Amino acid sequence: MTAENSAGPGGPMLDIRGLSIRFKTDYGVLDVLDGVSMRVFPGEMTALVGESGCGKSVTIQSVMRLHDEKRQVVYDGEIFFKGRDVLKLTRSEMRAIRGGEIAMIFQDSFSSLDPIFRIEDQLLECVPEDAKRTQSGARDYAASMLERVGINEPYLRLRQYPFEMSGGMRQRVAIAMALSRGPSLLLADEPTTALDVTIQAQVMELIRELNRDLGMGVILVTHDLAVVSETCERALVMYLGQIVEEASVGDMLDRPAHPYTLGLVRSIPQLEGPKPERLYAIEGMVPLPGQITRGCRFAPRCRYALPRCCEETPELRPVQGSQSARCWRIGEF
Amino acid sequence: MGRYLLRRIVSLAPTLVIVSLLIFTLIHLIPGDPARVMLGDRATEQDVERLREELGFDRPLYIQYINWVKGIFRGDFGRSVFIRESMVDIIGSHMAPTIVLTFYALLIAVAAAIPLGIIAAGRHNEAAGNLIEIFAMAGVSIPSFLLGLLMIIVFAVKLRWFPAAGYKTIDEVGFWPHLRYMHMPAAALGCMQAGFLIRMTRASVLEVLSSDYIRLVHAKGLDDFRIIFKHVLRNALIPIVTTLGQSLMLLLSGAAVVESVFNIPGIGQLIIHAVARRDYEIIQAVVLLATIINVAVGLTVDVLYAIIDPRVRLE
Ligand SMILES: Nc1ncnc2c1ncn2[C@@H]1O[C@H](COP(=O)(O)OP(=O)(O)OP(=O)(O)O)[C@@H](O)[C@H]1O
Ligand SMILES: [Mg+2]
Repeated sequence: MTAENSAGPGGPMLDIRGLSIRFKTDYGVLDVLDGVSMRVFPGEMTALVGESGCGKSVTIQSVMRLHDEKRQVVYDGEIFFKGRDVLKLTRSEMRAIRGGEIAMIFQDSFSSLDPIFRIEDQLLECVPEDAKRTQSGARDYAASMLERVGINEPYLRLRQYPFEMSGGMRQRVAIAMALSRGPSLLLADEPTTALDVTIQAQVMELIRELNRDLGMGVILVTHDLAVVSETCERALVMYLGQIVEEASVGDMLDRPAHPYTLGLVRSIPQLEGPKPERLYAIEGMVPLPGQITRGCRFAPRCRYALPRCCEETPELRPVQGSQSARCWRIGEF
Repeated sequence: MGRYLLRRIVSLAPTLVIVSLLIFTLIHLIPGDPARVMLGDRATEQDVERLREELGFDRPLYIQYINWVKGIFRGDFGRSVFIRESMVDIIGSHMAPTIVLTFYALLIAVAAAIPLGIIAAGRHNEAAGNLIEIFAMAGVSIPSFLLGLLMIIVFAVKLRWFPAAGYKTIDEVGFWPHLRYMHMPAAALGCMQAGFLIRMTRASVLEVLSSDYIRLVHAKGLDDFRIIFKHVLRNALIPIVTTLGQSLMLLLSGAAVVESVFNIPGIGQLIIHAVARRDYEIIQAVVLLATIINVAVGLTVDVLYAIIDPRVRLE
């Protein structure tokens, strides 16, 4: 641990540097992430956006090292959490961080409760040790967590099995689990997909509260730029396993520097104003990681692409202030 | 639960009627006059005729069937023409070694298969995992009689660890010496099921390991021991428990072969002799018993299933 890596006060709690991930599959090796770097500061909420399949889930799951390292993935790069490179931790050191210091709300969390154990059983696995000293203390703590995510009659719900609950309720149980030990870093992968708008607002408010009051760092993966603009300070835009733009949320929405970000921002449906003829959509589809070509990865779909874009690969370059983008034509459109 | 059991037992009746009718008909379709077979070639035609009348073989088949069923309701399971004992005693004394053999074989199969299956899943694509898979494949492919004979040669004749064949009851020699006669037959019989169960356990554990809820418990920071023994095993065992009933029935029917290799006087031997001698009543009683056992095993598995999987409700 060098001084440069240690997280002093004011430094980032999470510092991912040049993270590349390759998946070994039956049909060959896939380069899923390529040199991803990002930082999360205490009390900061960072959005991670991008089209389906660009590697958002893989990125945040690698912070907890949830991939099958023995058979499936090869990590390259560094992931410093509070000054320690998690990729170098032993299994038991890793286990101590999981669930306690770093918590995760999975993308499909409504389907990720163990089907044959009561909610109580599963929630009590995440209750902090000091609440666990007495049986009733642990139950009360678990019930209060359920209440905080908007579940009524928590003591009754504790006795139920996942199959006796609705999808939205199961998702809230999963959120309660993630938050119950007061993590200092929350990795939230589309945490509110199965929830209706009121509950969604309540859950986001809860996360925001923990973020503000306790300084919990948050990475929020979402497709909803409206939520991003309401809750997050900074945003990272991913395309095909690379970060293509990093900016404050205001900058990203007002003056996106990368054509891909521009496309994303334009495709937000507007509630006010005249209805557009048709919704804006970025042309083409995300290629599979195996089909990556030379040059800028977005070039085949980019309306501003020059011949150079298809030949030379751009690096992430500063645009203005804290904004940077991976494009040859920054500021030209 | 009580209501469910009652309904299942009531629904047993049609099964029994159909099976018994089928067996009754089939037995009587076996060519050859049973009275003639019983008395031998040198008996006179009159003697054969008299025996036929005495045993009721001259009456129409359906009357014979009805009489047999009536008898059962009176607690009369028929009577063997050759063995001068009550049917309950005959079946009881032959059933004992078969039951011991079957359950011992199941115990061996399960005790070997579940740990090996788990290791094979945890170490898949590694040497240990591949070795276990080869072992499982071999277990499935070797016929029990061949394995039994090989074991006799190696462990009884060469090494003299176990008696080569034969059988002594618990009453005669006590429990452990009794079991000494059973080690090899049970291992020979259980090997194939062990092979099946290893593959089944491996597949089931692998599926659970890759599920979302296991990823979640990893993210919760549970230790490996808790993950494996609480979450993985209990989920993985659900499909295995449901096949245990099937395994038991396959072992029960496979026991006949092993019994003849090791010369154990079990149900298998009883039925082979009964068929050879056209001892109809014994065959019918054994089949009836087998059907009841089958249904009882099925019922037990359903109840077990409901106990370990809360999603299953016995309605
Ligand atoms: N276990 C795996 N084996 C092989 N490839 C994988 C595996 N997990 C993810 N990938 C690949 O990695 C890429 C990124 O996947 P990821 O789940 O991170 O996408 P995402 O950005 O979260 O998309 P979404 O918005 O749909 O959730 C995809 O191309 C996916 O096919
Ligand atoms: Mg995802």
